[in-house]
Amino acid sequence: MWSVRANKLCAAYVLDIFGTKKVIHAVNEVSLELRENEVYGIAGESGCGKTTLVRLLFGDVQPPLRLMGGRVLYQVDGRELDLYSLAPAERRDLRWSFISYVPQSSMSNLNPVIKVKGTFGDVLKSHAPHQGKRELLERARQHLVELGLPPKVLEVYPHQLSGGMRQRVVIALATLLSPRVVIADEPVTALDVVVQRGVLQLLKEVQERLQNALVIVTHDMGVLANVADRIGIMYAGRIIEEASVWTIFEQPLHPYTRYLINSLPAFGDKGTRESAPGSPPSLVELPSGCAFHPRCRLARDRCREEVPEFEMVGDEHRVACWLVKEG
Amino acid sequence: MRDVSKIFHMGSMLSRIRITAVEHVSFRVGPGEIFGLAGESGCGKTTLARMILGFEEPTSGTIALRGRDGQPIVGRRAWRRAGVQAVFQNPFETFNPLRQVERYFFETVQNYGLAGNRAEALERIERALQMVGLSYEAIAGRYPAEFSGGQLQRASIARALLSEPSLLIADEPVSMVDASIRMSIMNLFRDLVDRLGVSVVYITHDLATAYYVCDRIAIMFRGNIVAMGNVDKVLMEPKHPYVRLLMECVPQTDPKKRWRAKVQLSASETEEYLRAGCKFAGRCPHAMDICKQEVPEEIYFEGQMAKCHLLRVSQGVQ
Amino acid sequence: MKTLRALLRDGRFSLGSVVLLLLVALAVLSFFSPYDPTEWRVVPRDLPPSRQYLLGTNSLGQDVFWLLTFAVRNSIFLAFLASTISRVIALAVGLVSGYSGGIVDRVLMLVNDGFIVVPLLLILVLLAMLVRERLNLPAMALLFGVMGWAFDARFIRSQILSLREREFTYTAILSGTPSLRLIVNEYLLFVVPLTMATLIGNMIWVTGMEVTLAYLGLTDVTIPTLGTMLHFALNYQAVLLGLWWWIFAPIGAAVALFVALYLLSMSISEYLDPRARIQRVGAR
Repeated sequence: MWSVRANKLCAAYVLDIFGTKKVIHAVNEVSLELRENEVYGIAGESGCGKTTLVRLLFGDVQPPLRLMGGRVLYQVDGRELDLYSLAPAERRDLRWSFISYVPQSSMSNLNPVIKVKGTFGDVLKSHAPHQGKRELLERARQHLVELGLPPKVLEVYPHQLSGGMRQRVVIALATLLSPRVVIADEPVTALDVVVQRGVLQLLKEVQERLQNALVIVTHDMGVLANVADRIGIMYAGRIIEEASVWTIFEQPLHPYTRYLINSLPAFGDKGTRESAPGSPPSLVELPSGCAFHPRCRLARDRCREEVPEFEMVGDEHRVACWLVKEG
Repeated sequence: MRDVSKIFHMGSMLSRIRITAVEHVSFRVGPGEIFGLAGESGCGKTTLARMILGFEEPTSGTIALRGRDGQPIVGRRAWRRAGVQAVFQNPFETFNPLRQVERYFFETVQNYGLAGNRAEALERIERALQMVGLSYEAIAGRYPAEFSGGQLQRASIARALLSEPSLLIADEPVSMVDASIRMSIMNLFRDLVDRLGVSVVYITHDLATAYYVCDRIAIMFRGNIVAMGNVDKVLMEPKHPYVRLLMECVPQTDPKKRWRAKVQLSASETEEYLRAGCKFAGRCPHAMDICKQEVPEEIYFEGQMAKCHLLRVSQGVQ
Repeated sequence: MKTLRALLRDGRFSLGSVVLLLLVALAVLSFFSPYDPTEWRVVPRDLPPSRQYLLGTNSLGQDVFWLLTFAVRNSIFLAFLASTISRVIALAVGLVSGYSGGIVDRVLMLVNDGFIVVPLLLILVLLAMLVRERLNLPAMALLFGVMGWAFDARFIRSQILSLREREFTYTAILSGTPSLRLIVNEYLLFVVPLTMATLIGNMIWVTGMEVTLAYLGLTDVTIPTLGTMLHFALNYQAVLLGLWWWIFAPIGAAVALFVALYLLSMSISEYLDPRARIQRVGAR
């Protein structure tokens, strides 16, 4: 059963720098589906539009970001809601309770000048306005204990926590109201490997407990190999390949995905790894046709002219590549 | 004959709050070798690099450096000309965004008196750029923002090579580079070492790339080297419990090798820095009483060294 | 050129520059003045504005319009000179202090903070009283220049402190660049735009100070400036006598100058600050 569905989403940053208009096409015709009880990984290099995509899914569209087309549907208790036709108040009600977002910088979810318990209290209060303060605090404490975090973190200020602990506290906050969808944007990027593992472990545990959808956005394929069920590979604002974690790692079809997988170093194998030639395109001036064609050794005329359709090629496996389609 | 070798011996680096960032670290990098320096953030690897580069003075201990001709290098200028150069993490930060990239090339040549006139300078710059797969034409008149990350990192490496140093310090040189071109930079380092006989100290927290490119590796933990040796031995047959923990936590890029067991996380960094005895004792699953009191000695195995009391017990005194 | 075109698209910048250009044109007119501004009783006294005397005449027998051209010229000149002097000091102190650190930094910042905490107006009043008659324009510019650099030096220093920790500083060191050249090559470009923006703010401050000191009669009143014009107008009871044109001419010119400089500085600092720019886009 799906919980969030995106249909042909397009969005761009429209910047007006002293009269010079600049349009950054960050997300182009992305369609995807997040399902109950699965971990969906979005992988891509910096500047490929992955953060923008999850902001669209969450409904966080503020200038200079503009929605240019497409829809986001939520399935809340069997009802289908079109996110961008909801009133702001309704949208606000869905945050934390239906969908929650852990942004790249964990500090931005925690107010630096109030104690952690204050932030927890605010979130609970907004969705359970009639409960008393002590009850709310007790609920927060219980939630932390369930996640294996020391309840004493409630009594300190965010800056007193270490990076890894802060990240785990933010995860606890995001899952406080048992949302059906949790989006974590680069949740482990700045952390050391040992801490990174602890944080991923926690994310996965909570997901298993809630049986909800967890979205992990990262540039690190290793992280996804360990926790994701399905993976979408993003390149220049589009998802160019989507499949189960096994398929992505064992039978990648898109040339970009292949480069990505093949260039990963592995222990016990010192064979030479090749990178893709060239470098990622600018989102301001996208190449014609398939955005990857200037870097693709197999590019044909059609790749330069037409944008490939994102099509189903196998069981749960979708690819946008003319080579795959035409064989 | 280019016998390059560097002998480092460093003592306690005491900062004002008396945290020993680097503690009695000794190692040696041979000519034409890629030496990995790996560890978590705040383990002292960057302080160590800054000391080798001469940006910071060691509190005690000495750092010695030999040129490509095998002669010891003395003096500040020579240290940076024939001695050691660096490649930094973020190529867009390596060059001033308001200045043309080529200016750094000409300045390096001029400041170290590497060429008599402009034609010679150009030739020298062209040669360095060719080595990294660029050309002078590709960088002439351009500002950093006009490059891609990968190109700019190559330019940064070329600049470091201009003065023909015997050692390159590469501090996380690929972590800011796009994943799809990361490996080409790693391959470039390997290639340069093979062709020029330059040595590289590769500083990273990424054990997978370290494994890929390094010959030897040292694992640092809270200012100490806890294990060192041949990269295959240190990483694939880890002896020190900390290295074992690290290896377990590195996400393997293969869904078949998913994590199963759980890990324990550390309390506070400063606490571990101040700990007497083995700094890892607080988190070590095998910690014994002695670990909390005495600093472990170096124990040598075939192709690697580890500092751990546990190994001493299991191996017998060496 | 591109910068200028971008700036001209901003309404505040265009308005500010138009007003400033008008004032400069007025100042240029002083070179064609039929009268010597230091001479008294060259025209009939206390005449209201008319076709012959555009802004009337004052009780000293001077043509207010032509007097104003000199006043505007001298005030702009003074403001510009004083601000330039203080910018040069601020740059030198900020760059050296920020880059060298240690004892040099501490001594320089001690002096700097001294200038920040001391009530400048009082010191200026005291100094002006001491030199009084000898306080000609260059001397006054030097005085204001020496007084007005402290805040900006601190600001520049803080910029340098953060620039110093950026990797390109180390690249320059590794390229063998000597310290002084490094500061000029690597940092100057970063702080010059800021210095330009504060230049305008400082010009406003200098004009205000000059008006204040002249009003108190502490400057050389024989030099026509906006301040001394006001000084004479008030001393000769222009308000009581209803000679509004005498009062309004310097005040109007001063206000126009303030507004023009303010608009320019707002526009330029926003142009330099990307965050303010984004907010502006977001507000639409």
